[in-house]
Amino acid sequence: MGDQAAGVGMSRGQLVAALLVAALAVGGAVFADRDVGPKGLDAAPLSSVASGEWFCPHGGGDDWEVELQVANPGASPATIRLQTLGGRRPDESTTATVEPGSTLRVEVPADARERASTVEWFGQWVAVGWVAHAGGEEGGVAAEPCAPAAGGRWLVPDGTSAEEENRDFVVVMNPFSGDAVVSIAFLSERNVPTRHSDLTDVVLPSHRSLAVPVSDYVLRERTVSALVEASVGRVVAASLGVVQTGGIRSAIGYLGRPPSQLVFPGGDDAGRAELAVMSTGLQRVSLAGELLERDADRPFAGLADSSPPGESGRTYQATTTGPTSVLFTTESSGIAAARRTYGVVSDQGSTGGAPPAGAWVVFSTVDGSPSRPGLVLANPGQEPAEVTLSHMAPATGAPVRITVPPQRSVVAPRRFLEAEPSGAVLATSESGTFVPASASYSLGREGLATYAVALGIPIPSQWIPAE
Amino acid sequence: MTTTVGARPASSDATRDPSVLVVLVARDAARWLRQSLQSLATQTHPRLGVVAVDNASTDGTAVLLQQALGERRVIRLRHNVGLAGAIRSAMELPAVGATDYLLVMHDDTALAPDAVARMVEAAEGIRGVERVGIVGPKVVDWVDPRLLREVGRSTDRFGHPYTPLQDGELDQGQYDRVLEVLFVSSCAMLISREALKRAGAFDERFAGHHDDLDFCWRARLAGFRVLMTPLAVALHRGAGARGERPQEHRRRSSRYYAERAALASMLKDYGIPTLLWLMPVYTVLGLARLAYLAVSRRFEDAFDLIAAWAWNIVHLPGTLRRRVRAQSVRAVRDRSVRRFMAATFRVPRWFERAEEFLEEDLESIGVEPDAPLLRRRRAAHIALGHPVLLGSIIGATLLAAAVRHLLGPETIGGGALPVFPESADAFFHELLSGVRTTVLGGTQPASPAVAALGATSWLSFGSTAVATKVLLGALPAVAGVLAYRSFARQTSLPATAIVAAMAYVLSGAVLWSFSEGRIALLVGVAALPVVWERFDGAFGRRRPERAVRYGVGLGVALAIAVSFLPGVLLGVGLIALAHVVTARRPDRGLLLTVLGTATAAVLAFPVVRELVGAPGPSLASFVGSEDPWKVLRLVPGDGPTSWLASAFLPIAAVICFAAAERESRGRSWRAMSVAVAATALAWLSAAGYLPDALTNAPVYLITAAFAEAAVIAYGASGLVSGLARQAFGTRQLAAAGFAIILGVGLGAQAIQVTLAEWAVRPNGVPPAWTVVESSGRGEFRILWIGHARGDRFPAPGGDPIGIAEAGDASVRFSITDRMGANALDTGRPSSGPGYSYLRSVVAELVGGQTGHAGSLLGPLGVRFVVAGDDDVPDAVFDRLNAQADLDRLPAGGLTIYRNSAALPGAFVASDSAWTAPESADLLEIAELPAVGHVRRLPAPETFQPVNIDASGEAIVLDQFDSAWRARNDGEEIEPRAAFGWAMAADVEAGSLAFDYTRQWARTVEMAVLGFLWLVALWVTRRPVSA
Repeated sequence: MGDQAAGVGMSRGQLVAALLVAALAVGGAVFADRDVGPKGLDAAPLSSVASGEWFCPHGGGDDWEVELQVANPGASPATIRLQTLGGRRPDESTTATVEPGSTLRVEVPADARERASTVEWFGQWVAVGWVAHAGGEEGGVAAEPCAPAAGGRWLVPDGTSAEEENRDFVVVMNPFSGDAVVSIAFLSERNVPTRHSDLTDVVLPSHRSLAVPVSDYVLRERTVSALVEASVGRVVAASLGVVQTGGIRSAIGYLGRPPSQLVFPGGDDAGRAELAVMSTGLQRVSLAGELLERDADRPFAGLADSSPPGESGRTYQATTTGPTSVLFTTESSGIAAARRTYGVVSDQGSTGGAPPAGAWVVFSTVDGSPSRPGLVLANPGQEPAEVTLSHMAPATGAPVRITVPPQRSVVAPRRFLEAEPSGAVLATSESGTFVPASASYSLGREGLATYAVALGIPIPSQWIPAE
Repeated sequence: MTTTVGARPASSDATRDPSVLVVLVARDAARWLRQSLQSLATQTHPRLGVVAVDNASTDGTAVLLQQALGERRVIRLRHNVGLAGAIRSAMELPAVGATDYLLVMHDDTALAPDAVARMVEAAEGIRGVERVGIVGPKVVDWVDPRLLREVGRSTDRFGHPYTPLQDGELDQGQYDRVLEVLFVSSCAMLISREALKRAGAFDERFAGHHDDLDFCWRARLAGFRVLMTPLAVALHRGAGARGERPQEHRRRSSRYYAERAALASMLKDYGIPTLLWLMPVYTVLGLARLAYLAVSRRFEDAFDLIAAWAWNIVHLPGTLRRRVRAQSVRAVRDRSVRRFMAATFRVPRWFERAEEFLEEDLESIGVEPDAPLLRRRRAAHIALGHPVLLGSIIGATLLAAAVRHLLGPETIGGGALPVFPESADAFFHELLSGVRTTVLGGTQPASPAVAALGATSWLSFGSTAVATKVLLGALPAVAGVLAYRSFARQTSLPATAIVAAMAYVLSGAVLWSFSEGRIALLVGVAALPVVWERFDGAFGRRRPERAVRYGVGLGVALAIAVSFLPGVLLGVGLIALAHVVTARRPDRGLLLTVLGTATAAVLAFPVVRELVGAPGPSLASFVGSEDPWKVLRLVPGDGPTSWLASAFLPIAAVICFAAAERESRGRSWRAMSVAVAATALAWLSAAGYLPDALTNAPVYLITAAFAEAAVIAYGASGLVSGLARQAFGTRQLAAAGFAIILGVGLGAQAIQVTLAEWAVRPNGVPPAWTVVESSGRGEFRILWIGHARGDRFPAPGGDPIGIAEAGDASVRFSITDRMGANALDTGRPSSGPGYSYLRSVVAELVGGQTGHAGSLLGPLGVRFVVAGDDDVPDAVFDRLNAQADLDRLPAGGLTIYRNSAALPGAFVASDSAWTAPESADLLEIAELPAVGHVRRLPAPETFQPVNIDASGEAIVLDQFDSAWRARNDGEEIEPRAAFGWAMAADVEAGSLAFDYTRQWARTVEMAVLGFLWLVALWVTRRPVSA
């Protein structure tokens, strides 16, 4: 009698079934692991809340006047809430509405060096920048776009303590509810960072700002760049320069790691451009630069093939004629640069650089009449950029179209600018990308008393207005 | 008991034999009285007289007695006064006072011809043994004299009678020596005159139940000995216990009479010093016994226990009077009496016998020391011969190893263990409260599981921390026992049942549940065996006995499981479906299933109501591994037992499936179908392919684990039976493979159990948690986020309640109170308008364009956003850092953001410029300025009135319900919605309190629920123990 018949054998059918189960399980696992995988996650639903904040460490002084310019390039009104900080309790916030396609100018308190402001926006993206007019014994105009984000590491390249009578500052603001702990190191041509116990682990309370005089820590250095690091919390930093003979300049710092390619538009200046470069790494870095002029482009002689040492600040100079933009390139991520330009009289301007984009809001750097508004557009690319310039309300006037050839800088038609010298300009390209900056004179008898330069603000892709 | 050796021979002096007067107490004994009387007539003792007392017989017993003894020797009582009353009547006779010995005898006792003589001999004739007051015979069964009935008795310290005899023990001479005992039965009791005089009469209040115990105890107290002599033999019918006498009143259980007599005897017979320490111990043990009886549904036994205590309370004056009498004749200390008492804590009789068998077997091993092979075979034989004992020992050892970290005074935490409130009262308060006091509030009722947690805490000396440990330690053990019981009942094979139960408890899914501290899931683990067995019985060939009780029992098990873990319905549904599809008689099984389901729905109606309204949040669990290889191993997540060894269970199951014999093939197929389906569903859940209402990977995996263990139970015997008879082939290979895999697997898992660091342990929360925990005053909430597909949150965040899809920025999220995931929310889903608002805010945070997520979270009272280290998608990390009102805090081990725009849980805002929007318009909410100065209010569910100084807007961040009212200086205000889900009311300066006007409805609901549970437990109660 066989085992099956004897009742002790295993059922063949059951054995096959078990093998099938095992095969199904293993096969299913292989299939799930290799071919199927987890279900993809859907994209986010349409957002119903747009909001953000701009941070403006504009600084101030005795009798200074600072205006924030808020431009709404979109089709919906934007609600904004402004608040100014300083060394004491923040001021009460104020609320306003910016109509679509228009610009609002709001004066903010600026009675101390450390003054800074925040602009919260709701419902529609806005661009924000400031224009500061020095008062009292100081003179000049400075303008700069505000920063769209805060963070823990800022590179502030523009600073100098070469002239004792001139005063440069690093303005640091903490607009948040938690205290920040900040350390500042100065990088100069000494090639050794300058750190001071007064500037190490400084507690910056919530909703406060401070201004650090550069020359109190580093004297007689042509280039004094600042590395601002917050070990706790987030801050925003900018440089503020006050020239004794008249003139102020300001430049917002770079958050985190600046792009490896920056464009610094410039024009209608005294023919001298300086590039303050800071290197935060430990190694030497190689730099490259080109000058993009109206009709040609040429290497930035002082910059080409230079390799500043790590933890240093250097200034590179170039002579310019006409609208000249600097195309700055580096392979390292810890490099930042700012451009100083000099007005034909005594004022200066400084600005940071930016990579090219397709749409911008460019604030006017004019602070009153008479004025000579200027707008420079630089195209570092290989294709021409077809750009449309249009005024933002309350200004009126027909838009103009200009072509920015590749590797060139052009100025906007003066008639266009003079139609509304104080208004913001919306610059959009149909093809190609570019970098604009406002470089203007204002006040004085001939409107040349003050000079200010400010980079445009790129419009995020989702907020670019439709045609 | 002590043994007295050697009996003094009868005196050779011509001493007069002592006189013995038999007092025969009879009632309705016509059927057997003759035999009893005949036995008296044939006694060899020369000086014997008989008096009978008839307790109002109705069957002619009195006439029989008169015919046999003469009218003068029969006392006919008009009413049944019981044994003690009858003896008292007899004692009024002058003859009683003159006789040397009184022999009390029941009418259903027949003495051997020399029984009286032997008893007298024992009373008077043993050298060195004096002051013998009472002697009893060896009592054997009337019907089968081979069976021993009485050989003298003892009690424990608390007076509970104890006999050394086993049930059905045969007389083989093992008790054939004179024994000094605590008491002998009154069916035949020889009492000396002096002892009777000193000890006093029988206590009539005991009505014939254990009055012999009390009488003998008092006699001992008076300095008299109580002996049992085997030379005197009596047959006892035990007519009352057999039910052969008509009952005048409803007979209660033996437990009642024993307890009643025990307590009364203690109170009467112990000295004060003894009572001072004994009574507290008796109280504690009694309460524990009561709790055990209640928990094991022996309600009638529990009621009898209470009734016995109540009787003693009512009769306390009488007891105290009798105490005075008893203590007045005290001649010895309690210590002398206690020598004859048994130990208080005795192991069950079966355990004693098991010990004896084991000892015999172990001795046999030592017989041949030179044969190691033989010893191993014998050892294996012993192990196989006592699988339950062996399994219990192994299980207890593993349990001790597993819970080693839980012992100790520290509070445990970590894993997914919910935080228990500080006091047990909080559970009951939540159960009875009309409002939900946790997280976003609302009016969802608490689950009945909360009552169980509260009861456990209360029983754990009122400590919720101890209750946590008790639950974690006990639930896996209970699961193992229930699994064994289920398999043993289904297969009648204890060995395979033990192996299968161990495989279940040591599976990856169950050990993961334990490691994570998932108490609700562990309840599901424990309930599944019961549910499975019930379904098996419902759809089986034979109809279950007492079908209604069976169906309701299924419902009770389901209700317990669903109350803790509603998602367990998914696993139960699979089991039910498998049975329905494969059963031969689905109609009967369906009826029982419907009955069980309806019962469960009624018993857990608070949970069921929420489940019907929001099936997704009720049933879903977003925890689970999407790695199909882990799912195959039945491991829901990372942990100490997620390694390869956990694959032992599915592999062993497949082997046993192959070997299933014809009788168990149907069950094997059913179990394997459930296992395969559950495993597949587990992966589909974790991978996100199922709708929320069907997503619950942990439940599917524990279902698969039990199903696979069932396959082992059904098939293992088929694998090994007949192995030796078969030629070498597939079966041998399969058996070998099975043994290796099971052995290695179980062994490896056991090693992990002993060595593993569980997620739950003392101080199990991350150190960085103190950043949140120590945050300022007031209640606040916490938003937990992490990668979309993953595990629970860092302790004490618990499990996610949803997933916000935003491509690479998708996250899982949850919201808790400041203490973390709350045990009060066991079995209760997170649903309601507040949670809808939360989902929309999280979607905006991770995928939107807002820079004011803090302002959007503010109306939820969220003060912190917390994530595990490296558990935030990069895109979300950037989004969080870009928020204007969320500030990252330094905290190693956790990513913590503080929300500067968080609103208090309840407050009055007096700034006229600040008004809470009615709708959930996110843009409007984001634009809200800082609220400025506020007057914080106590949580509304405290209903505490406060005085507010200025008028303003009272905001309560609890889910809106129209039954809330604000009482402001006597005026009742109906609140309006705020932020689309919370509550607001315009109030004036003065007193302010909140009131929930539908509390009465919840109170009625809970009263009805409690009543329904009592009914269900009564229906499913265990039969009365004999």
